[in-house]
Amino acid sequence: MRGARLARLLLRPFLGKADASEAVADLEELAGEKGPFEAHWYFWWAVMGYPARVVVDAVRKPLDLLGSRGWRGIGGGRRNSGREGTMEGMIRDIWYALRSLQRNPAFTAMTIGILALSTGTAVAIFSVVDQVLLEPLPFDEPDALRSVWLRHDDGSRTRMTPGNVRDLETLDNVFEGVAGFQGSTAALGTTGGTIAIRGGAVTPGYFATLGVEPLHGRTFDPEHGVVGAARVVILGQRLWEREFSADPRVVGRVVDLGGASAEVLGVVPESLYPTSVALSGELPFTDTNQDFFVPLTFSEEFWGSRRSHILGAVVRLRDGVTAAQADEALSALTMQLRETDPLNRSESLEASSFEEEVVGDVRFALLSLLGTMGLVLIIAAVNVGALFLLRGDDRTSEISIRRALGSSSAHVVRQFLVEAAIVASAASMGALVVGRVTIAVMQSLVPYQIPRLSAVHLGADSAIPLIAVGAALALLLGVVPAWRALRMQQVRGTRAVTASRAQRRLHGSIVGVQAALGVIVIVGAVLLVRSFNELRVVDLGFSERQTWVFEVRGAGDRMSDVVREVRALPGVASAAIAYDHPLARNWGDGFRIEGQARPEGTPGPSGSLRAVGTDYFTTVGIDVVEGRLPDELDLAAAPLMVINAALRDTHFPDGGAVGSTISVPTAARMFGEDASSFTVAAVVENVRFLGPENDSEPAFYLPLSHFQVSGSNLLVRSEDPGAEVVARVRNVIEAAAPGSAANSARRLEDIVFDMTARPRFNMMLLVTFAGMVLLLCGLGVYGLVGRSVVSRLREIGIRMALGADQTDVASSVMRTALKPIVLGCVAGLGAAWALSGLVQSLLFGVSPTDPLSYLLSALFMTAVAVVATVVPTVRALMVDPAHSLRGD
Amino acid sequence: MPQVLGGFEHRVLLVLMRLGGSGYAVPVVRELERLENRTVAPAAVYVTLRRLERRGLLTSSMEPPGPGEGGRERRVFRVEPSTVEVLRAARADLARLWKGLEALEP
Repeated sequence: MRGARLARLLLRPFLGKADASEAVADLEELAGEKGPFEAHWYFWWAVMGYPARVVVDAVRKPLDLLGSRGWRGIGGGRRNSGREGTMEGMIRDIWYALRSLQRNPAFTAMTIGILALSTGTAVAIFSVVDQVLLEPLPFDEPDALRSVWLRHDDGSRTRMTPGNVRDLETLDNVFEGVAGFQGSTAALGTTGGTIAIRGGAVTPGYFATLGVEPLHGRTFDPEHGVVGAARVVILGQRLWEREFSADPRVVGRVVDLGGASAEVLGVVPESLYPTSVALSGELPFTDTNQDFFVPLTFSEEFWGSRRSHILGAVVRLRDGVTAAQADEALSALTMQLRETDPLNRSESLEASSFEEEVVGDVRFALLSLLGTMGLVLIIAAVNVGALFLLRGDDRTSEISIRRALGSSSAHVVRQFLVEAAIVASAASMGALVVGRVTIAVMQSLVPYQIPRLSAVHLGADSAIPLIAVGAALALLLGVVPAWRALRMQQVRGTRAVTASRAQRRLHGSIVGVQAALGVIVIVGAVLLVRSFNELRVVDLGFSERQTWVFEVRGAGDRMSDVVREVRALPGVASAAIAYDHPLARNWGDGFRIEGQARPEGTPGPSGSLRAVGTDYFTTVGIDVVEGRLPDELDLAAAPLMVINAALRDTHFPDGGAVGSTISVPTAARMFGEDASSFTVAAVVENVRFLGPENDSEPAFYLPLSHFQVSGSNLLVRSEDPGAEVVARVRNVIEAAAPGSAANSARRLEDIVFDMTARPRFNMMLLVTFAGMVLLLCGLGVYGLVGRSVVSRLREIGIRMALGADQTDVASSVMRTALKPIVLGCVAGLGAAWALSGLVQSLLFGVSPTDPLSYLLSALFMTAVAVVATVVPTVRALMVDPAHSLRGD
Repeated sequence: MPQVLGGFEHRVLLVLMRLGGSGYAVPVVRELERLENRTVAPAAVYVTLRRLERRGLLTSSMEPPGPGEGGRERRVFRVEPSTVEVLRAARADLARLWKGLEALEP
């Protein structure tokens, strides 16, 4: 049973180690008789039954003993004969502790709630950091893997060309394996219809380089990568489980892949396969592109090309070769290429740790969240500590009475410890629930933008530190207040305590420290909120409203019929086909501007190549800034192209872009030299293809009909915001192109929303933390002022009797609260200022020392403090002088 | 002072007698569920068995699995001979209470 270890850990404090193992084994046996789903449910339901019943039983225990043989009979029991006396004392302590906690429900709920919330969130974030960042990648010796890319002399980074991947293979004294790959999509015929799947086209040595053994079948042989080889496919574990019911007999079966049959060669385990590669050389990992793998089948001629930047590369170092040695070998190769090959003259091969590529850009965000969470945890611990201290102080007279009745100091300490232990264990159980919920929420916020997040779970590994922290906290929360209470009792005897000046100062400084730490967190949250707001208002360069993106695979030539019919549908404002939507990471290519001489030995300019059809610009709302859009963007009509403003500004600073001729080698490769030149018809607005935080790169739009692509997207702008149009469009696709997969219809708005998922995730977590901090600080202030008012009732009474007016009293009470808060805020703002450099990389459009954010944070903190003082202040104002003077 | 049996304790003891006077927790849960036709919380059986042991009504020891059973050691509880007397007394108590209420019997 999954989770048996966790269950044993949970039950151990209640049943002891041996009995917990026995009970869990019993439950596994009982659960084994249920169905697979029910078994899980039953198991956890039964586990949860133990703690409550054991506690109730412990409370009943003395009665049982009384009922059977009376108290004297304990020693004669068959088991535990020597321990029973202490057991009995322990049970009584637990019983008292439960009663005492029950008598003070506000204290109990507050301490358990604060601890459960803060430790639960902390454990969740720790689990994420542990399982996303710290666990080694699921490859054989992952440290030997490095990704390789090209660095232009202008500093920009780009994908590899097929020729450069071949170059890497010549370094076989350094690299044990070289893998090249690019993203791939296809339509897969299944029993339930055709579905669109995403994966990679990879070189045959890909899996050997990564060090992955297939679950079933085998991986590619070198002959699979030859043009004209029999079509084969390797399935990813998740697709295999989802669509083939995890049937191992799928190996050898022939499936329909993109309208042609392909033999299933094997199944590979779920992992972090690099498949897609961004134009800028990054390996954007997503869980959604791990469905299938097909061999890259380039012609020998194309494998020599150093012009098309389309591949990603991962290499495995030979045993004993260090990263530095590999870098040296790459530099040597770079020098050689710069001399022999004009296209590589301004480029260098560079390698970086593969792990860094996969998790590098989430590392900082996750670590800063962990750090912030640490601050929140400290604040929470300080708060709970203060609550326990105050409660201990309040119990001086109770302790005096106990001592007078013969309790030893040790017994008093034990009593306190038991109470703290009960609070800590209840909080730990709550923390497990909070932790699980937090992880689920995090997973739903960023479903696939953080690698491995979807597999993160709150396992026993995370629960052990939780239990350890709980135990340590219980010890601290129990011993320190008990010690203080005992000391105070010696000093004061049984007189009721009033908060001394020293006590108030202690409490004041606790509140001050909380405010200081809290302000740091709040500044971070406010900065992220403001930064996210800036991101949201960035003009992406197109209009995503009411636009749907249909991923169509396998429709082939029938796409033009489809788009014609869709345009005629009621409710459709406009429709177009395109290789992908405006925010997709398309491929990049070099180009040449006719009539512009390029400096000798440079490879010439390059840009993002976007393949689109007629009406694309009107459908996605990209404005024309110069020239006129062609009526037909089709090779058959005229060889026209459209460029963006960034390309114009870079390469036509003196104007004259419209009407000029640009040739594109990709087109030449596919259609021959005569089909490679295009006349610029229009210049359109820049689109931020890589999301709002990245500037637009130079881009050119070519007619999609130039390219033999396996699939394309249908973009449809609807006349109204509803989703009625989706079903109509699907019907058209199904009728015009039966069997083509239009299973994914997404709103362009959702795609834009997903683009900002990571910053939103950071922001929401930090805002949650800030909320917790404000709540905790509010509670702290409330406690401080409340106690201060209670202890000063007499003094306030005297002052009012002597004629002090209400304003004086109110301001004096407020001062108690606001002094530590203001001091804390000042210190906290200073610390935030000092730490501001750290958050720089998480911010967009806001300076990390933005004064407004700092001011707002201080205001939030002060406002919460003021609100928290309202009730105690009102109480102070309602003091009846006569009454308070009579008291005591 | 005579031993007083709680309702659930009474039923657990009777089930153990039906199982031949001894057994571990799992068969007790199973048998109770079968006879009473409802789900029984294993935790309830766990604490009851241990409470009965504490009260001297049962003894227990760790024992290897019997022939044909699964492969782990388990704590087997045995009904003491004196316990049978307690069960008889409980039954007699009930019978006394029922006396005169024969009209209610089905």
